[in-house]
Amino acid sequence: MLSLLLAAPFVAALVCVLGSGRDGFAATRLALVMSVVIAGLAGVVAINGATPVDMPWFTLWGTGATVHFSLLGDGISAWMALLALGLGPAAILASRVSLGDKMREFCAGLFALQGCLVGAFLAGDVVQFYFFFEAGLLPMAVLLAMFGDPEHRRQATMQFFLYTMLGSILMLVAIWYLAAHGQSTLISDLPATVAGLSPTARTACFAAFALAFAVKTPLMPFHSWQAPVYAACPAGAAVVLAGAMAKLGTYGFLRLVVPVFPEASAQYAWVFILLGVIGVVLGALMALAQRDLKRMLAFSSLSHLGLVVIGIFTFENAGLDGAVVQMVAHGLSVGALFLLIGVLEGRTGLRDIDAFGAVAGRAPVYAVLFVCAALAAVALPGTAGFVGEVMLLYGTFSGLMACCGLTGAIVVTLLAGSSLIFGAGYVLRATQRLLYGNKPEPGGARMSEITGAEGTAVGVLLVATLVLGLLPSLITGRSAETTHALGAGARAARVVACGTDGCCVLPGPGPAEPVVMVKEADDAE
Amino acid sequence: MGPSMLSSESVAWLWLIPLLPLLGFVVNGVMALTGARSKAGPSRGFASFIAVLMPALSFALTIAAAIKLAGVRAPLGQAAALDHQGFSWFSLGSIDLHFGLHFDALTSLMLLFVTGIGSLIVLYSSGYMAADRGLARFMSYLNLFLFSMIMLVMGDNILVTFLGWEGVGLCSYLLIGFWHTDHANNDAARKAFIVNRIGDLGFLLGVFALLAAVSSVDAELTLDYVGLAEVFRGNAAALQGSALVTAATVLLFIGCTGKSAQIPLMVWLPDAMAGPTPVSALIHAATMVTSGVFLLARLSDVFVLAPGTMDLITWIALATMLWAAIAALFQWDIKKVLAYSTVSQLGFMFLAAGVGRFDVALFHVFTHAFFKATLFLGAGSVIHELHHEQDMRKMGGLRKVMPVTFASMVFAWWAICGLPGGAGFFSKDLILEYAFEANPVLWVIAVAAAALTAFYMTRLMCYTFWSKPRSDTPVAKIHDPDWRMSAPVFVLGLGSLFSGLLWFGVLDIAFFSEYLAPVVGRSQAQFAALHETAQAVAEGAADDGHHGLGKMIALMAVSVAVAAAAASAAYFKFRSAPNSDSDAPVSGFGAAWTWGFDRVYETCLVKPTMVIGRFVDRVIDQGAIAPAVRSVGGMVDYLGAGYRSFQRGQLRVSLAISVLCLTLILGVVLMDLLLGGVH
Repeated sequence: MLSLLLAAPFVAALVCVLGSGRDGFAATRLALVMSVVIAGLAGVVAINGATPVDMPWFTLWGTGATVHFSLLGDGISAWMALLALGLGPAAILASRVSLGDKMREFCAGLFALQGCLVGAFLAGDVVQFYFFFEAGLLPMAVLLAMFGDPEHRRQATMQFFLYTMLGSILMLVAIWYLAAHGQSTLISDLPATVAGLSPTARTACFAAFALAFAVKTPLMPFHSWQAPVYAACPAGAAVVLAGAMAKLGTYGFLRLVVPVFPEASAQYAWVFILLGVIGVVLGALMALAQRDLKRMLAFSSLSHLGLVVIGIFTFENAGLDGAVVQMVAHGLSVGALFLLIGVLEGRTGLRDIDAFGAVAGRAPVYAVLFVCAALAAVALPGTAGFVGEVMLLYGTFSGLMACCGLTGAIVVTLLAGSSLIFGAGYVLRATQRLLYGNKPEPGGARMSEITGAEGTAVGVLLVATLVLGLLPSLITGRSAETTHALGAGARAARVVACGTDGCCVLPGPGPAEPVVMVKEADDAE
Repeated sequence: MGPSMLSSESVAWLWLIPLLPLLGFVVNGVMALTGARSKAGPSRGFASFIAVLMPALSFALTIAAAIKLAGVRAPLGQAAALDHQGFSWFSLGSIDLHFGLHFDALTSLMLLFVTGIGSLIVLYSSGYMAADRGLARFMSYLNLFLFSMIMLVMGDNILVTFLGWEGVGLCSYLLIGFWHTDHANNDAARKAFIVNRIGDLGFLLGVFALLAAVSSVDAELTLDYVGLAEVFRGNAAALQGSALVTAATVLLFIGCTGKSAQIPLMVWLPDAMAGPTPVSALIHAATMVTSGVFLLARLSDVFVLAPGTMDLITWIALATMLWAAIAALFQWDIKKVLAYSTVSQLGFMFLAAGVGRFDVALFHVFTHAFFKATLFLGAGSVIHELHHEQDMRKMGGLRKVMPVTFASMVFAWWAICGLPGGAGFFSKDLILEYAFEANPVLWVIAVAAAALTAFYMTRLMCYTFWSKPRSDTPVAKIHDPDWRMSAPVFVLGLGSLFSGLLWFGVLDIAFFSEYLAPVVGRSQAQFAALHETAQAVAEGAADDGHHGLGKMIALMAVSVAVAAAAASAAYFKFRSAPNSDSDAPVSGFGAAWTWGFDRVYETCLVKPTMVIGRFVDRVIDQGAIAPAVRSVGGMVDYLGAGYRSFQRGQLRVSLAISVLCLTLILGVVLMDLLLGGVH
């Protein structure tokens, strides 16, 4: 079942290339049907589960370790795979108008990208994970270079490819090192391997993994690839990039950093909480300063995923559950928003926040969908985002209570939760400028009503966020056990760390921030 | 499940109370959406019918539930309740949260006027908005609001309440910005939402601190109200005045200041008058803004353990009531007078809660709902007849041409001034009395605020009804609006006269103090025992009326005399509606008394936020980090000539690479499938 799920997108990509001619609409229809079927398959796996696959594959050159072909069917992996595949129909519909006859190539690339994401999310072996993690860059870069915003796509593609590639190259070295020291590269065997390493090697490997995921998420200050890439990205690819691919970073933290390096994670948790808080606050502030809608979404993702990282590094059950729920919730809401902005851009060729106005009068259904997606993005209770954020914030609060006492807990949670306020600020500002007012700007005047298919795609995402907002146990019911186990080691390690040198978090969020910035600049040079 | 379960009865049809308005929202919403681009628009009659019917049915069910509740026998010291577990929502750490309903005396009281007055206001809206193209959309928002408000008061745990809490904030946003072609309305709506969100974050943090307090006494973590009350009652000695409880209550109170427009988060309410007038009546006077008081009463067992917070509430309430009453003196916009008046009256409610009398606070919530709804709806009728004129200087002399509206408004004016017999007389006087018992200084300030209330309300009545006509619309053309608008106003006007009598009770039941006693009585007694002097405790033994009757009557006489004096002073000053500074714009400095606060927020919070945002974006992000990254990129680019062709976007090369990649991956997959077959 899992193998089928992994193979399906690649087969679909081939079918796309072979099965449809130059006719963009035929290609779209074909791809849409396949993508709905595959998403349905992923849905079955996510709800019902599937038997994990595990078989020896080959021996890694230069080491004694056997690489396995291993697929995990647990709640986290299955739901992340569902997210990657479920956004497919939305991504295809978001691009149809603007890409026209190039849809065949686009859909093939999209399926390949989804396949790689599924491969990474389901991987039970770290080598396999790395393979798909990196392989995903190729189709993404191709999509970006071929279909991106003509003016900026060269720069953006280069930045995206190099930055994320360089970020993860150290991880490759670390994987090799771990493979040489252990007998197996199965993720479940890694903690034992790591426990046998010297403290220096352990910290170095931890840093290599953490860097790769920090770039991918991205965490401040490794985020500078994000905004240009999101802005240049065709809306359809951005749906998958922001909705699912960026979650590889947070997923990596959850699956490969916290459980594999429990001591180092506990020791350096404050770094990630600090970077997360900085990301949450500054990401939201920068989102407020944007005029380009896609750039605004890029910074809002920075802000939202910062909160996820904070939640993961509190090692509290609530925070870890919240991380999983929030990854799905953010994927749905940001996917819906990218789709809607794609519709806007496809109709008008514009995406400047001030170029519209009074769209509600010309396209009332579009306006309603946009408002609903905006409300999902600001985590209104009843949407999945609310459940995710409450869990994350509670995890943050109780984790810091345990470590730093009441004042620290309130301060950090307040900063982490400020996204609730700033988020409302930029999202409602965009809503107002786009939809309301009485005088349409050029973009607003050219805007026409959303089509049935596009509306349905957004509607499905919104219904999903509503359903998961009321019944998040659909996710946590299957993922909680795994998630809690993943955090157990680090939680225990933190108790030890807290016992010895008291507070392990927060030397103070204010002054540390420029220091980090300067360091990064130095490193980069 | 604790022993408290014995005192409650599971009733599934409780769900109908919130779900009916939700159904109304869905039906009207679909109608509004599908009819949005048609020529005629959705059917007005049907939209109104559904929108009025659903809350009215909820009201009927609320009455049925209240009757059923009266039949539930609770063990001594337990609050009788109806409830329904609903379904499992999510787990917060070790807490299993249910999406359930709880219906006790406090809920029933709130629901009776939320659905009752709510239905009347929806009926009124069907007349007020009859000519508006977006009637169905408006009606759907009103129903969604009622759904959220019902969830707020019926939730059996704090997070279900929070769902309603944010839901009413959302509806407030949608309704303030209802006429969204005007950006002034949209700005007001956005401000309301964001200011409320600040309070909401405080609310959430308060909930977390509350949980920390629960775990500090090793009790089982819970967010159910019943469970929380047990924990905080059971561990009162250990938690009394602890830092955790103080932090939790202060944070929760910040949430209340947002929703109930108290200092410092009150800045959104005057601006919120941009919405259609029925909205102001429903949301910004009768229901939503009182949810802060409801929350205090709901968590009274927690709040009484934090004497510092109770003092804070008291003083914030006093400052707010006085400031808002002064602000109301200077308004020319009739709705703004009422808006500031609402803020001021909310101050009275919080004062009562702050001195530990939650039942009195709720009594004032109840009476205020009647008279303020009457005032807003009456003002709405006036505005409607004068073709959207809100400047009181262009009104006057409406007494004769709009008799029904005038009569209702007089009832409500009588009530809000606290003149004997009106509803406000009873509730406000009780508040003043308990304030005096706590500290005579509180009483002095509150009496001053009450006098100002009588003054500005009489000014409003003079300018609108009693003086000579000054309107642009010819007087001959002005008349009472049709029954859909007049009837609700009149019914509510009667309520303003008589709802106060409920304190003394019909049929010998002291409605409020006894009815609410199971819910808030114990915490009140606890608070009194902890905070009064020995002598006061001794007096408290014979509390509520019999002893100290003389003092009570004296206090009442003073406050009534002061109010009457203020009202007559205003009458003689304004009865001919002097037009001294008639050039002052409706929304100038004098009109916007939150201006000071707004400017502080603008300069201290909003501007710096935007400046930091731009600074980080331009200077640090694009100025420092990006070039550094680009230089790395450039270097690699220089080295890798092969990469360049890819980078130029040459399709063939990139396609070749992706095909290569695909082949590789397919190989892997095929291998897996083949091997999988062997297994």
